[in-house]
Amino acid sequence: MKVAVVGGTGFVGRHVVRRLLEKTFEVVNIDKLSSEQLYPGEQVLLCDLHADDGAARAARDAGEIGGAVWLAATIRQVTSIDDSAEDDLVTMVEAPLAFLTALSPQPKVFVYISSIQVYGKPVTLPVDETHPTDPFTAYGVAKLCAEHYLRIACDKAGVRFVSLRLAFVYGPGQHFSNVIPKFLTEAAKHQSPIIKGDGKEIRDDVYVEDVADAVASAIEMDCSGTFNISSGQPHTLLTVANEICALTGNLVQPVVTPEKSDWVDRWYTVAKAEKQLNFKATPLEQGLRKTWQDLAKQV
Amino acid sequence: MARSSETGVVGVTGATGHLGQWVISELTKRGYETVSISRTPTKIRTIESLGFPSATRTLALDLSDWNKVQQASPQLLELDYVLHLAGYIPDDTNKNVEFDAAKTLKQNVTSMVHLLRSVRSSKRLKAVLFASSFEVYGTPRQLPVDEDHPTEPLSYYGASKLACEKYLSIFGNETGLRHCSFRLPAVYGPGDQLNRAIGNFIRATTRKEPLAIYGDGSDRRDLVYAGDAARALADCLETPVPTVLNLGSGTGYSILEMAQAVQSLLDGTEIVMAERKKPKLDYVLSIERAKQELNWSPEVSLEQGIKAQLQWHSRRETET
Repeated sequence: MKVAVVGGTGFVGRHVVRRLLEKTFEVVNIDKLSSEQLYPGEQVLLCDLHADDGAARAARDAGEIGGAVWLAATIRQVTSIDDSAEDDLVTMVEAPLAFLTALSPQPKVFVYISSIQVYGKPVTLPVDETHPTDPFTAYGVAKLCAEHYLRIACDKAGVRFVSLRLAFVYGPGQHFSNVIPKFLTEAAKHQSPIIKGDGKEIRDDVYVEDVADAVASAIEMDCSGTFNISSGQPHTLLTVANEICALTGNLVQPVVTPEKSDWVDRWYTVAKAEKQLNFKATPLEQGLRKTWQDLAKQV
Repeated sequence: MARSSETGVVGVTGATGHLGQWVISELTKRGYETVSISRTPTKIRTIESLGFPSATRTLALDLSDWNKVQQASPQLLELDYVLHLAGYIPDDTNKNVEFDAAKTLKQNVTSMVHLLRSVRSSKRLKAVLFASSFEVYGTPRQLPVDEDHPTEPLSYYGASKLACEKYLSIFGNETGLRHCSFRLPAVYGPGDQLNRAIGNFIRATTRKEPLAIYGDGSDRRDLVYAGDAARALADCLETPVPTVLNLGSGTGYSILEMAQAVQSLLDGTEIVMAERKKPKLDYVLSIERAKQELNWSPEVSLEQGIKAQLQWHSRRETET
């Protein structure tokens, strides 16, 4: 079966493309940029989702596909409603809808990569899929809006729809501005990871290859609906930093600052994904180790 | 321009629509200055015959066009309140045709983003109120449906209204301004031109056709009289309110009750039962929160409301 991965050149996209190829799917990566290192067998279709008719044209060019995975998004943590809000609506709602509509014949399954940002501030911990959805970021609103529009469109078209709500993703290939690769490179260079506040806030980081597995399962298994894809194991930023310092040879120790953090404790269950997607989260220590092994080759 | 010290200037989007005309009337009665914000502010108002006042001023503006919204910025920043009623509603929201997906996104969601961006820096703005819909809930899991019921819209229209609510809530948290999304059931009363239950029945009577009920008519639906809804919206301009609020009848009415209410007012009207087209669906909103927090209850009974709408309809028929 041929699977279109829209946004296959990004950090998560590379892992998804690789995993799907390993599972012997035929994969077409639809992105505005091609990757510098294509996987054997990976097809690339360049597409500007902001161009008039861009998503629909890509769908027509992709030809007959059995599954679609929508990753394309600009990752933001902006809470305000500014010009990026409209941009997000185009990339994350209008474009996937136009893409789905233009696919002929219709695919069997559409997997939308959503975010735990759709929940907003947790009212109960851990957060499961029935938790109210009240995003406090415009990005989260766009993701939530897309989940509803695409569910309705897929229901109508007889396409199986799966929405994966990802926690904070880390792993090989992530940009250095993100906290885990940043701490790893710093620790390796004898620089202490600096934590704003006491580092005791609860967070949920999911290993990127687990996300790729979840996408593959969502395509292969007869399931539909919304799934949390997270570590399922709460940990603190201090734990992450301590693990990182241990992994990199105990060259430094994390430093906490007296600042007050505005972090909201977050922790998401994966029971539903475990049951229906055979999901198994990689333990934090193991995920960090793999990330470090990959990074160590570069630094 | 001179302003009343107690009240202020209310921008009403969708002021030429059904609820919009009632809102303008209610606000004018209370002494507010109103600005009718609409793509076609000169559109002939449908309930002029009732002596409804027009807005103090008009502002022609297509909210889905950001350049136009930016050009209108000086006027928008003059507003003390925004009542956002404008929106695209498909003829049949359940059909979910492709066209409606794109149009609800643009006309409803993108327009909301533009509106909020345009007033974010306002120094005068005190409140933003939004006319949302019961369709944000989706299939009721229990009745009556209260504001904490999960939101799983089954229509693009409902999904668009839900996204608008969420943007408004972010805006409210960021600016600290009072804001509220009103989840409205079908709005009826003079001026109602939509193909919903009451409007359909009334139109049938003017064509001397029987009132058609699909199924046994036992399905309960909710309604709110336009005047009652307008009163709730106007009340919220000055009162701190919850951020989400249902309005409705409190009890709901069966389709048969609605038909019988029309029948009782027009001698010789027949009711015919036809084969059910859709599965049975009961839909009643809880209005406890509005009662408690806003001291609001519907005042116009179903019979009174239908009577008013019938009179409006027949007067229009004779005028045209």
